[in-house]
Amino acid sequence: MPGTILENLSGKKLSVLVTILLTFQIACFLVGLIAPSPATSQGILTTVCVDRDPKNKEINRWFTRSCPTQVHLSDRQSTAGLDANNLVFVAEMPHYSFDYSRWQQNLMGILQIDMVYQEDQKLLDPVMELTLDARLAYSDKDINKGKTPWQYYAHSEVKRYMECTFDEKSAHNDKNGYPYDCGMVPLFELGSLHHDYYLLNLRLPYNRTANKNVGLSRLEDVHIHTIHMNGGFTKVWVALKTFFFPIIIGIMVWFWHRVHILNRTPALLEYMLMSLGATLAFLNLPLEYLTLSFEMSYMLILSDIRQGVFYAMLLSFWLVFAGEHMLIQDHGEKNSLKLYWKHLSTIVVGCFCLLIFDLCERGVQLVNPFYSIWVTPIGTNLALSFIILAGISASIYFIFLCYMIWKVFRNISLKRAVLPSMSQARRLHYEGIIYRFNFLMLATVICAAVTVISFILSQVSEGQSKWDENMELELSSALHTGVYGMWNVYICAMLMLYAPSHKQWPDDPICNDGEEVEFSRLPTEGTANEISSLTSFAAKTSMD
Amino acid sequence: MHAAFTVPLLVPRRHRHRRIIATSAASNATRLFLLLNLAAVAAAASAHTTWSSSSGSTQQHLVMDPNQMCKRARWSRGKMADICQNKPALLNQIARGVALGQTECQWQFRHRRWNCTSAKRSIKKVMLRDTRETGFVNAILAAGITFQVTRACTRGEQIGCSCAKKKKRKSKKKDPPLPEGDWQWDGCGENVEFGIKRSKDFLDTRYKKRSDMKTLVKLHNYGAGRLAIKNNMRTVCKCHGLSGSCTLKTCTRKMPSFREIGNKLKERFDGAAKVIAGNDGQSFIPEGETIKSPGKVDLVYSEESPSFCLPNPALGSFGTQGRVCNDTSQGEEGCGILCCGRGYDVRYEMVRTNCNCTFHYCCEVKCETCIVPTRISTCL
Repeated sequence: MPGTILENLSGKKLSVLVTILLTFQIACFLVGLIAPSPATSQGILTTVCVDRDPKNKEINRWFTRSCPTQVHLSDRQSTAGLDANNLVFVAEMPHYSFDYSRWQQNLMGILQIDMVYQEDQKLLDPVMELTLDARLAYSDKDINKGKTPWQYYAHSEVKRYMECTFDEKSAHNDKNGYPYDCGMVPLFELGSLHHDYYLLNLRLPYNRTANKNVGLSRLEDVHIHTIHMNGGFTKVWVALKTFFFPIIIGIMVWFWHRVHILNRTPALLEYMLMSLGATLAFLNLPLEYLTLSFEMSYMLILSDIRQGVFYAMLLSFWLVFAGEHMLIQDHGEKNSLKLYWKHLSTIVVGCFCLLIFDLCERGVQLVNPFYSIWVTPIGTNLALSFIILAGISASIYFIFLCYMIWKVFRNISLKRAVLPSMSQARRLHYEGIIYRFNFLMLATVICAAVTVISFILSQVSEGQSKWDENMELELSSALHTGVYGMWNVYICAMLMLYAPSHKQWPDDPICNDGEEVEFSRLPTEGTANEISSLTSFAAKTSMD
Repeated sequence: MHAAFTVPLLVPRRHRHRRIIATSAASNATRLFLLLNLAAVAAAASAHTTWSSSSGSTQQHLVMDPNQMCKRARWSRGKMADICQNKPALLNQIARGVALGQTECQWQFRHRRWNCTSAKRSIKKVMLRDTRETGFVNAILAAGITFQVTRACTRGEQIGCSCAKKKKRKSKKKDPPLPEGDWQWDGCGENVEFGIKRSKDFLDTRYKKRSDMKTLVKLHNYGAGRLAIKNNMRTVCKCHGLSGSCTLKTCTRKMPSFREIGNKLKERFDGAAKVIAGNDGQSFIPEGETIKSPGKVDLVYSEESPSFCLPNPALGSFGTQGRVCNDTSQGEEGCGILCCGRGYDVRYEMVRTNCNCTFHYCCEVKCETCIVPTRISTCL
């Protein structure tokens, strides 16, 4: 009667294993402490250049910070006689004498427009439509530490919605020139930061007939906030992946070997564990190294897919795990995924919705980095419906899962009542199994809780304490690496503890007990689909 | 000509929009005052253009002319002398910052008896004392420098903006330029830290070794001015985690507009606390027992302000005679307060103003001209 390692491991060995795993876990957290925050932002105040020839549609005409005619929008004289199409807002990224490193992975641009109240104008609508003509160029360092000429990267005319409020109370009676408070507008998203320098040329074309930018008030400043990953964080992250990848591969090989030396076909739960390990290995695969030499703008979407596949597999595993520990084997055939189609379909539907949403947003961004699904009403509805659908399937899934876990625990507690009537050795043994099963359920709940808590913590720390000078430690990275390491450790533990044991059940002298005879008559005994004796226990007791 | 009275000595565009056609006869005294005020208008207007144009030719009107301060500090050493001698671009930004602070001071005080004018060295005389007004001017100048230097850094101007990091504790060196590796490792810090640092270098370091009351108050108000920026930064956050969810969120901060900073400081000015020297000689305590001691963001002063009701060249006061007031208001612009109880003169004039304006982005305003009968009150 083959069991899993979890059942046959002595308490001492188990505690040693748990200690080692916990050490890894703490190490992951500590590694995160040396890393900087995951991403940094840099604010750039655009330089306003004058395009004397706005009709010229030549695409490779770039305005840089050192353009010949610059104006200050707050200075009314210098903008006199200028047309909206004359103004080009220029942002060179990054600032100063820096250049982007490929370790910084990706780049996001956020637009923020400062407007002031214009005398005698009526207040702006709280939500206005912006039309942006945005062009991106790139440049690299050349051999003599100079820059190569700007090269065209992307161009698009896009619409955005911007929310602006006006604080009439503070403005008192002197509204003229008082600033509006305008929200940020996501502008572009580059999946790979392959080049050293980027240049943004932004125009706000005005056209009354085409209804372009008619709602604007007087502009004072145009800010571009750029967000990129921190090289240090990427390095730590990739190091973590590089460390875990061979480990998980090794454990998987060992696990599969263990399964194969038994003379039976692998059980469903073993398949599930293998696939879970495989998705984790896929997630751990340090593809980021490739971005150092190749331009892989699909990295964002790829990492979304990698994470998505992993989470989908993890959720499915929980479901099957709970199911396999509860199911009453009234038919001798092998369990298969078909039994769980109802439950699993919720995951499939949810993930599929998110995948489509992701492809619509980030997939299109591969072609046009300025694209956003949220700017058209149809796009917004589409995105929202996909997200809502995914949310609904997620909640159905959790209802299923909770119901199954509740059933397992009810089963266990019911059977506990039968335990005293068993012989002592057996009873101790089964109590141990129940204890370890509970222990692992507890581990799952703890992992999930820690994930949720760290998510909340990182939200809070991002919101406030980041600006607190006294905070020396960068907690958000540690939370990220900690959670990442935790799921790695969790799955490693699952693979190790649920691997089939080579130990045989002790040929106990209790077999002459009447109760135990009943045990040996279990229909499931010796069948290949039996994975743990707990299952057999559950099945047996349910027969009582 | 009377525009000088209707417009509180600044904002040239308002000045343009409103022109009084009919004027009443002015007394000799008013005429004298008018001349003074015209000088102030010129000063304010030039200060305004200083900020927006790049030349620094009109800086002689600045209350705290960085170039002159540098001349005085020629033989000294330290951070200020370093800025003076080696960082002309930074010095230029500091000068603009001073002008910006001064302009904002004039706007915030446009309705007050003392309207922050720099004519006849008025502002300098006020700065020599330690009154509530002095505190405000100091705070807003420190804020102006911080704002302007930060702004220049945000524009990417090469004024030695360094990525101020939390690493200060580790390296004792005075802000070393960030090595390339650090930029790759954890990016660049906020520009406002650099602005604050430079404002401190330029203003505070001169007084580091002194601990007399005036200096303490001055340093406190400088700090309060800088904090008015730092504590009111606008935060915007962007989620960029899995599928754009908030598993990963990065926030970025932006300075508020200088008008908002001015408003905040004006609020602090209205609630400023009077302080007296503390027992240890290194600090100050509020004058009244019951008053809670001022925080870092509060403005303090140690001398009662003069009333500024009557002309007094020694105090930098021009008096309020001839100033336009609002006879329906109970506030500081109301005739009751502004005219110091001397009463006011009411007359009706036809004023030409812009009306029914339409605005076309980016730079075009079309207005009609209306002639509106306006009630104008002036202090006696």
